[in-house]
Amino acid sequence: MSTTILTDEAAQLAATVADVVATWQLPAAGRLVPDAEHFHDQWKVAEELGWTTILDDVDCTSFEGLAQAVELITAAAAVTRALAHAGAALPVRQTLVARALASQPIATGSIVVSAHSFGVWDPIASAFVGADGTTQSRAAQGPVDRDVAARPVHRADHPEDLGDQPDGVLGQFLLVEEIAGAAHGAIEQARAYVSSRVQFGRPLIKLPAVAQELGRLTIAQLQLDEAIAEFARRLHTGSPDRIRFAALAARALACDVASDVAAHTHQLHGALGLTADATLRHHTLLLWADRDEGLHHRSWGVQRLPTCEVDLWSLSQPEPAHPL
Amino acid sequence: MTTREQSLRVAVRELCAEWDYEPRCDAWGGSADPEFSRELGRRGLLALTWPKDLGGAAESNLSRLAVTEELLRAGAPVSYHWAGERQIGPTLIRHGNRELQDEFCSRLARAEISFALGMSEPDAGSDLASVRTTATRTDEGWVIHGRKVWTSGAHFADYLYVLARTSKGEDRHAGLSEFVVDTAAPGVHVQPIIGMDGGHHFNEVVFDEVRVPDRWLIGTEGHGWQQVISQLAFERGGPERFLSMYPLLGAVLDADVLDDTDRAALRVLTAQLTVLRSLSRDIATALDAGHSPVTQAATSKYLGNRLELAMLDFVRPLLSRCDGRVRALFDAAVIASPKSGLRGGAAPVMLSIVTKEMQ
Ligand SMILES: Cc1cc2nc3c(=O)[nH]c(=O)nc-3n(C[C@H](O)[C@H](O)[C@H](O)COP(=O)(O)OP(=O)(O)OC[C@H]3O[C@@H](n4cnc5c(N)ncnc54)[C@H](O)[C@@H]3O)c2cc1C
Repeated sequence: MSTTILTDEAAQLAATVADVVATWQLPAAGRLVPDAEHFHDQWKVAEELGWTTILDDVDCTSFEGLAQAVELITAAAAVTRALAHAGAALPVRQTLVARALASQPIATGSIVVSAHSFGVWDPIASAFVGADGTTQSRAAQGPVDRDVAARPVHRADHPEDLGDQPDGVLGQFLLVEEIAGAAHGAIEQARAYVSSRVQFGRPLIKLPAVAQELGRLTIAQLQLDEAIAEFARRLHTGSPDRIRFAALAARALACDVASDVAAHTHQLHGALGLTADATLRHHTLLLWADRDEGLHHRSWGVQRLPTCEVDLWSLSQPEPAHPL
Repeated sequence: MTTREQSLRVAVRELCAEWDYEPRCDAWGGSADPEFSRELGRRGLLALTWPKDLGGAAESNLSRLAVTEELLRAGAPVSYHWAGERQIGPTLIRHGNRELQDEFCSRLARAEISFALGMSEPDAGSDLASVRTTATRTDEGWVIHGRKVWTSGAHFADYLYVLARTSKGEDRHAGLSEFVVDTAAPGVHVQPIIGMDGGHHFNEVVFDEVRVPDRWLIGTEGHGWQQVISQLAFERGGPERFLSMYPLLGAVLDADVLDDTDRAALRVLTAQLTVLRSLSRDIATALDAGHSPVTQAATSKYLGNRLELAMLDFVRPLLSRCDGRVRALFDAAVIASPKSGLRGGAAPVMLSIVTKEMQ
């Protein structure tokens, strides 16, 4: 099954991220993420290891630019997914996109956002990159709002057609990778719990209903991975309409899968999963937060949907190339 | 898509445009039109993956997928050749000896003959390994005795594929073998089982001491279970597991009756369709590489069942805005809808296969 298409380099990068983050202390329950003791050290590590600058030279103002940069985008996706898989909420994804969009170089070390961050991390960002690529410095903003994942957020209305532009598509790509990574991490945690937790004289996973629920979640994850793989293929060779449709499809499924996985991994994890000590929350809170990111309109994306059968058939036709 | 896939799609569309038929949901499980199947054969659109000397075109499963997808999209009357072309030919090519292949493959490739699948029995449904029909060796070949149920299309099939027990032992999976049986042979009794729509689709097939020549044993005696498992990837992994209701969805889109709220509900549906078409392509690619992607096929079948049910839920509130043709498609689709969670293996069993892999 084609899950995420990874080059060897991207796979190695993902393994490095996993190794590094495994030693990190994640934020305490209820605290704003950037207030955690180790947040700034961790951000520095991410910077030093080059995770936030991967897309600096990518031209994200055109689909041709994205097509030429598929390997770099794959690497950025691998980092984003691996961070979410480990439950780490850092502004890497947002900074990657903003830096790609910037027409002038930006000093490393900054948290940079753009409209594609949908206000998340805005309050502590030191720069904002506009749609035209210009960068404005940012002073720290007033009272800090937070999203479900305790990331700082500045709530504002966003243009509805943001996802139609190439930079918006790039933002969506990394967002669905983040959701897929967090979902995978949550399922693994739930599986570990039901494999070790003994009730009725045997591990819970031996109960058919429990095993099947896990199987169902695994299929949901595979479905999302397949949608993302198709999205990745189209970024390489697809026409703009087909890329936009793949972005919509992947996002729609990611929303579905995020809710499903968050709710049911908690179900399988028992009351223990609801505690501050449990690490499941790092994944599920991120899933809930990402699920709603930027989707403030009921009719989001409908203009990208097919209006007749012939369009449905051609838009749902998979991209044949498996370039990587 | 390759140029070849594209030209195959065009060829199917041309034939469907010329043919006089009413597009249907679940057309591959519906009534047979042998002439349509034969015309497909004449135009080189059947048995694409089979070797040339067995009537095929030595092409890839991706080429075949292009054809099957377009046929299902068009709701074309394909049931006459479906099982034979999908899994009997490939089984004979994979496991049968040359004599058996020569006897059946070219005729199947031209849709001159039709096969039905005799797997399920009164006591062997989801648990297929518990088949009781026996095949006993004699001096001239084999004698088959027993009973099969739910045998789709046995009333028009010329031959049956039969899974039978050839020895009894501790291991239920050992001692099973596969056979070809002539439906006209003495002792074969095909009795209709009328469906809940009043139609004749299913049959019960009784085998009363039916003589079968030795050459009609498929593959190796006692290896039936391993052989049938690889056959299931062909049976379960195809696009018919998620495109049976597609003609209805297509008709509703073309009816131009969707408002913005309806279109929002189309988001996940089209996403699921896209994923399944992509999965289908992966499965075809795996088959081309000589693998037997059993778990992928089970995943696709499970998701396909969910998508088909979701399509009905999507269409239901739009019906009052649609014409009689769409409503008729919908009614037929509703009645056909429980089939997809059962035939080829029940949906929860597909989930079990994936779950087992994961544990
Ligand atoms: C339209 C149609 C066409 C068919 N055509 C053919 C044909 O041509 N040839 C042929 O041989 N057969 C055919 N079948 C039969 C089909 O293969 C069986 O219906 C299927 O294998 C399920 O068996 P069953 O109906 O006996 O259900 P049962 O085995 O009685 O199971 C009933 C239900 O129990 C649940 N269940 C059973 N086992 C498990 C498990 N392990 N885990 C979780 N839940 C479980 C499922 O919900 C299942 O649906 C056809 C069926 C249909 C509906």
